Amino acid sequence: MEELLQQIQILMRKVFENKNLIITNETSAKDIAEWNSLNHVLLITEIENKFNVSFSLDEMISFTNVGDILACLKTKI
Amino acid sequence: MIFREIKVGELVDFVHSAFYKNANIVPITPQRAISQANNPYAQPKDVALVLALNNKEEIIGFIGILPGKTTLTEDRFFWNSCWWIDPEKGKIAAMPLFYSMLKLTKSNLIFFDLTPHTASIVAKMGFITNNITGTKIFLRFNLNQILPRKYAFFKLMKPILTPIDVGLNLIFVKKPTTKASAYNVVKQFDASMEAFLKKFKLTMLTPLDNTFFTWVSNYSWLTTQPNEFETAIAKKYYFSYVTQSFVVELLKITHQNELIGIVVVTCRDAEMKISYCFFDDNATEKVLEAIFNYAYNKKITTITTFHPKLEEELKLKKHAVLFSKQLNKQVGYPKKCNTLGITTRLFQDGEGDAIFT
Repeated sequence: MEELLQQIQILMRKVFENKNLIITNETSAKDIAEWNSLNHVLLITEIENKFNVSFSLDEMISFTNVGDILACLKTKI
Repeated sequence: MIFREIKVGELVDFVHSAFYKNANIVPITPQRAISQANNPYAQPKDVALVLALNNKEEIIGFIGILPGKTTLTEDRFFWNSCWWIDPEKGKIAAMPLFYSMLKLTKSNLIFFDLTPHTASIVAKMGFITNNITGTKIFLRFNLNQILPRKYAFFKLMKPILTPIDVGLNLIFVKKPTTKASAYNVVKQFDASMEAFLKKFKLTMLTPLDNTFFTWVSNYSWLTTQPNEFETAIAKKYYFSYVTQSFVVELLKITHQNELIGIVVVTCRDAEMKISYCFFDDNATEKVLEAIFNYAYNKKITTITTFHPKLEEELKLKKHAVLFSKQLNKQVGYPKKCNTLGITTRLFQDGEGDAIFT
């Protein structure tokens, strides 16, 4: 899980253009100003490409924090 | 918020449903539904619309997908045909709708005529975006149409503007003098036209053939004589729908009985768009002559083209043009299209759903 978190952190740093970003399972859009709806889709698309997985629309809109994304991702890889 | 997908095979039933009739806004018109149901490149299970609904089952956003065909590959491609978001209630739906479109099309998606804002989103999502330039030329004065559209005050002045147009056109509009090139309005591509078009397979993006032309010429998205139901729908629909006249025509252009060009035009309320145009480089002037003759005979007020050779020829100012205006359109496509040869293709003014309106 820790390794996965690190990988998501790398992707989030790229999408949110913040090389110092540190995330935890609880990190949500409230903590990152750049985490808007466009960047949310961009992040999910980056994760899909990186891990070669696909999220459904319902899954995508249900993610409220990093932990939600990781939990769903774990079921797919 | 919930999402509802409407497949191509469900569109006609959808526009007859109670949900549609009672909707606060409508995502598609009956004409568009019928047209899409007859799309020769669509399969009944293709999703044509994704609706975002709030908890009261009101539409707060929608996105449209038009299955199409390109000369790039045998793989299926899709055009984005609309993306509407309720400015107050729908903001949260915007990106999920976009995401659903990417999923449904596997990103085999081409965008034509993007707004600057949408173009920036599309670019951020990894698509290549390009600006294409076009020209709109004004051939006749048409103040009685243009001014009331821009300023409500002029709606009352229409009876005065019409004779002013007539007078100005008598003074300034010149009949084309050259008749060396002839055009014929034809109903379909004949064998000589099909053979002629083969020369352009590296510049043509949308493959022109009888299947395509029969579809676009028979299933316009506009209505010219709206009935009571359609008039009510027009008030709940935010895209182009009701107009006075609209036609899609195929022109076969010859010079000394030799085929030199093929043009597909749309004429809407005397405004003409050159949707597709293919001709040999050395025939540009002659093809344009024929287009001008057609426009004169149809009393066309403006012509719009995004064909670079026609634009170059227009800049030489050999023709009786009152004014001209440069136009820009943003197009977007997946990066893989570059390796498929999209850079040699011309985006013309009929691409995607543009030819239907």
